[in-house]
Amino acid sequence: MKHETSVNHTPAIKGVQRKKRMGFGRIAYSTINWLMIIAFLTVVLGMTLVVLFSAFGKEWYTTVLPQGFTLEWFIKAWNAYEIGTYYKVTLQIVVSATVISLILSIPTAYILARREFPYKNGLISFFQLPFTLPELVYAIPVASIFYSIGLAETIPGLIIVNLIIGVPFSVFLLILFTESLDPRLEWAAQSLGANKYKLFTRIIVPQLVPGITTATINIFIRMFSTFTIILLISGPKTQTLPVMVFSVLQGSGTQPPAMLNSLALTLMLPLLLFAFVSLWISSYTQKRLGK
Amino acid sequence: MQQPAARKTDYLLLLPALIPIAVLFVYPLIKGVLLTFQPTGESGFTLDNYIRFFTEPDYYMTIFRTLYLVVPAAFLELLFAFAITYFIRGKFKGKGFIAGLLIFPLTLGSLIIDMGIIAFFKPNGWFNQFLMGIGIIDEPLTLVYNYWGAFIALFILGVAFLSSNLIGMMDSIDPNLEQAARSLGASEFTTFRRVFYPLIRSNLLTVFGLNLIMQIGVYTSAIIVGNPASETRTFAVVAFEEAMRYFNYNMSNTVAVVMATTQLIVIAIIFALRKRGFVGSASTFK
Repeated sequence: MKHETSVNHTPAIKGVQRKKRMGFGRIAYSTINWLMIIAFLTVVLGMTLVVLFSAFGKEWYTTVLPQGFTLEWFIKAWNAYEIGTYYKVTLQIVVSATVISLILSIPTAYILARREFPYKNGLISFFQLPFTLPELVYAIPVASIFYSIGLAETIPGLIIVNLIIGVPFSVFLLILFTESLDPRLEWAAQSLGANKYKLFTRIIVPQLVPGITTATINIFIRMFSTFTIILLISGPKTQTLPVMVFSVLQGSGTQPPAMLNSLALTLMLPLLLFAFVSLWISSYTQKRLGK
Repeated sequence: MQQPAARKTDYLLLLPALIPIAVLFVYPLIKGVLLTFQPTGESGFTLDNYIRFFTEPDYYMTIFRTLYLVVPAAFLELLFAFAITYFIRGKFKGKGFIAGLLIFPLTLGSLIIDMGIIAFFKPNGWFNQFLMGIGIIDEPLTLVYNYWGAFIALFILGVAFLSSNLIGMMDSIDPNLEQAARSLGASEFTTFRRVFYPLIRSNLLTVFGLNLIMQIGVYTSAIIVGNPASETRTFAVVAFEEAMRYFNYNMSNTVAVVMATTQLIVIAIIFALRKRGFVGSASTFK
């Protein structure tokens, strides 16, 4: 052990690490890599900017930049595609599904994290299957079942179908959080005479608030952008925002590009907001779980 | 720490989450496989759906069209993402910014990326204006509504996905291992080939496989920036068409099962390759 530490601090080793040969090969290597990075990032930023410019641009045909900027297209698109209505429908579906998923998954996650029983690990992996397998394989039969029992194209149907996105993922997240709780608090409460119900509402749930918040935000975002399974069972008026955007884009031959880009923007803004929130949450979680 | 054993009432608490999964996932999965062996709209047993799939070119060509689109894209993505993330590994100023932008397309998702590609790569878009401006081409290239449109969409999302995984993996490899090799006289290339690459190989294959599996299911990009009638008529395009236009869930599921089988074969190949290398952690021991 002592020998190793002394080697690590030898100046000679540091010298090797610091020394950079600035030969032709190395310069060519960095140049190529920087060019690749710059090219990729330029395309990504360019694509985002071009959608923004096109949505807010006046007339734009062959010039580098549009003739001027206006909100006209955005407002037109908002009214023509009834974006407000679809926002409302989407929120209605996703918020209800989030609440139901959480209520269903908290007790299960607690048992999976705290109790020992045969095949427990198998059961935990089983809960991860729905979000690791490709959606299409179970989405098509779900659609055929929903159409045959009349749940397709209805709001309750869309809420129910979202549970398959929400429940497994929130169970998966909540197990991690429950495992990091100190079980001695639960033992203390039990020894002082708390019953099952009190133990749950007074001890476990309050401690789980950060976990529940993380799960809520994560499954909300997942459900908001769920696409395949919703597309298969959605009706003309019962669609979430991404599915509506897709349906418009699919048959978009005659629409002006500015309208379509405004439409894309209405989907992009919530996604950017979510990215921001989840970034903030994940840095908070990392501090909290000490990973 | 010893966990208490479960009592009977505890098992009841597992049900709220198990029931939705059983009803919405396990049952449809089984029913889906059974559907492929039934004639359309009736019960009974038949192999007709599979026979149709493998004899009618409109169906069996989807296998080659999907692979012809996805496999070259996946290899190019791997090369590109690996080169970039290897180059920016370690800590330096501005890395967070570059890494954040590399992953940014994942945040936007496939639909927005498709819109961006149409606006950016269309004949009078910025990309063609730039290339014509510096005199590389005289006529604008047709890069949307065909094979290349879908290819670009896959490439951008694939590079973002691979980078999001590779950045973390490369930073978790102990830099002392490389320093040790260099201090013993190994050249840059030998260090990479004999030390760094063997350590990252198995994880690299895993993310490559995950990416390939996701891209085999490509749908929105194939429809919006591709040409879903011919060049980019992938598995998912045909499966959705059968389900949504003809309401033929039997055939639709047959396509989905063939797609899943293709994905399983891909996983099998990758696991066979992975077995031959080092599998384990190479992170810092403290």
